[in-house]
Amino acid sequence: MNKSKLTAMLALGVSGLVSLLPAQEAPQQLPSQEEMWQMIQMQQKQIEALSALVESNQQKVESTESEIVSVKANADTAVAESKQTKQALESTQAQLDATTLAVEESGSSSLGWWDKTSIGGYGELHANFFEDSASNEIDFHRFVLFFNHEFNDWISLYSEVEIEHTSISDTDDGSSGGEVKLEQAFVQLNWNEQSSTDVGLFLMPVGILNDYHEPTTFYGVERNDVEANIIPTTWFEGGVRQTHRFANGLSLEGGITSGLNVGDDFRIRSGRQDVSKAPAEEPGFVTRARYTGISGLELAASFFYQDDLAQEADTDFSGLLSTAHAVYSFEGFTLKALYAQWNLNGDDVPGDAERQFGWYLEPSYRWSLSEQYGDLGIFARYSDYEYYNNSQRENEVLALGVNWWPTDNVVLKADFEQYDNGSDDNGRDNDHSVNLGVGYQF
Amino acid sequence: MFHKSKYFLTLLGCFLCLPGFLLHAKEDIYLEPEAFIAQSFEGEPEQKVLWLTQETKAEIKAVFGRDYQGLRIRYWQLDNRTAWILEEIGKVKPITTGFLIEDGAMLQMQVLIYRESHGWEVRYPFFTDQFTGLKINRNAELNKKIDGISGATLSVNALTRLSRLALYLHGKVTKP
Repeated sequence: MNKSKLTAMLALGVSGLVSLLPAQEAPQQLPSQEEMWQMIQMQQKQIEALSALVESNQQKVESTESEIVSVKANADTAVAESKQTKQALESTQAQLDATTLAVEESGSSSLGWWDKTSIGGYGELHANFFEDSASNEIDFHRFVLFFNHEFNDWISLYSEVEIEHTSISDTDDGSSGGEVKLEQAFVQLNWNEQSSTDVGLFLMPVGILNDYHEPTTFYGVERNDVEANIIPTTWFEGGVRQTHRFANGLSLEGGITSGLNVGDDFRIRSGRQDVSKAPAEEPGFVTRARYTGISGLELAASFFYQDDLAQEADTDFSGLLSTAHAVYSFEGFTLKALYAQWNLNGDDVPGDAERQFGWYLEPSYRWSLSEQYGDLGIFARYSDYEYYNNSQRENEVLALGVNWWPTDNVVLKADFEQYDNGSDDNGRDNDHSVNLGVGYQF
Repeated sequence: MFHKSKYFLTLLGCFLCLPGFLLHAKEDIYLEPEAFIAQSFEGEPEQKVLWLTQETKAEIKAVFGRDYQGLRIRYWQLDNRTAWILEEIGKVKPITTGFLIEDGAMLQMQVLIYRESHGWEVRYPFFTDQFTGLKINRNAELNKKIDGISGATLSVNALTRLSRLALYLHGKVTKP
């Protein structure tokens, strides 16, 4: 076969093969060189733009990093400064505390005796008006000062000086009405929270008023007649007294004291010696049990015994005082009840003097008016007593009245008293009296 | 008559011997102020100070009835509970008292140091228990009357005034 025939046969074969192939799109026409050059240039520009952007971002990142470093440095500085400021503030606070403490303590220095000494007192002015105006009287009955001192944590001094009836005149017959009295002066030894011993001159633990008789603590211008004539309030002696207090509200007291010196009149009140160059032939023995374990309630009983009440006199008779009282307060209502009795025993004792006794009942009510005007109280008291003063004397006294406390430590009083035996047992013979008074304590 | 003296002497002898026995049986009824604070909170309270500015002094005077001495009042607080240690004169000496208050109501009142010769009863629970639950109204008045103790009127009044003050101060420092 020659070459021409072979070439023709190859061309036919290829054609045949091509005709068997799936139909294909006609191939795109390739961009021209110019177009490709433009495309390349455009892509180059894009690359350059992107590079610029990357570079810009890179710069920004670097700038931000340096800012962060700077901020961190500032933050560290701020933390350090804050720490210094806090230390300075704490130091200033400590200085302020120290200064304040020094100022506060300078007002309560413990260097001088005066810091352990306290002063208090009370006083009362009375005006008494009777149907017989000749008996009318106005009198600053008591001006009292307390001086207390703490020697140390467990030893203290308690003292009370009293001026009665304003002034004292030096009269030949001793008739001056005024008195200056030392009513208390004792050293108290507090062994512990429950137990103490008093040595010196002290108020006898009997009755209600004998212990607490500041004018703001009781109703009525004058102290009640039962305690005044029977107990006899205010009664103080010299000696030693032991007190024990229980946590349940019970307290027990016992004492050995100087005694009364009752004269031929067998009047107990006249037997008080005021521990003033007093005969000490016969001691007295006193004991009291007192319960205040229920809020608002007080129950107490006391006994006093003296072998010979007459001491110096030729007569010889013993005396036993027994008292009991109850005080109950609930809300503004208060009820007081007291009974006191002397039993005198001796051959020389008149029959009517052997038993001298008295009792009283006193209901009262106290209102709180306002913060500014304080409290107002009303009371009634019925007293019945028998005592001996050269002869037997009996009396029943009805008292009605009001107290006004404009503040806790000041009181104004007004009361009406009616005397069954026609006398107030203070030398004024009248059926009744109207009494006004003002009192204070501090 | 003499046998009665012996009876009394025996009784009194017993009383006078009591201190000897009791020295060995001492009970610490009082609390140190620090101990009062420690027992008043379950957690650790924050110690704070209320400065007595002119305005605060005027408010206190209206509630307490007189100025309260000092430049500041310390107190302790944990959440809505505060503790205060305040002083007021009874008859002649100050009574140091601790107050524990929560949500405007008194949880506890305790006399920490008592210096008077009378009125010792105010230290004991039979008196102080009535302060539990005490509150004040808008006029700083207590919501109940405190029953007094015969012979301790001044001490009772002082503690009543202090209670009002403590409740008022509690309200002031815990006010939202």
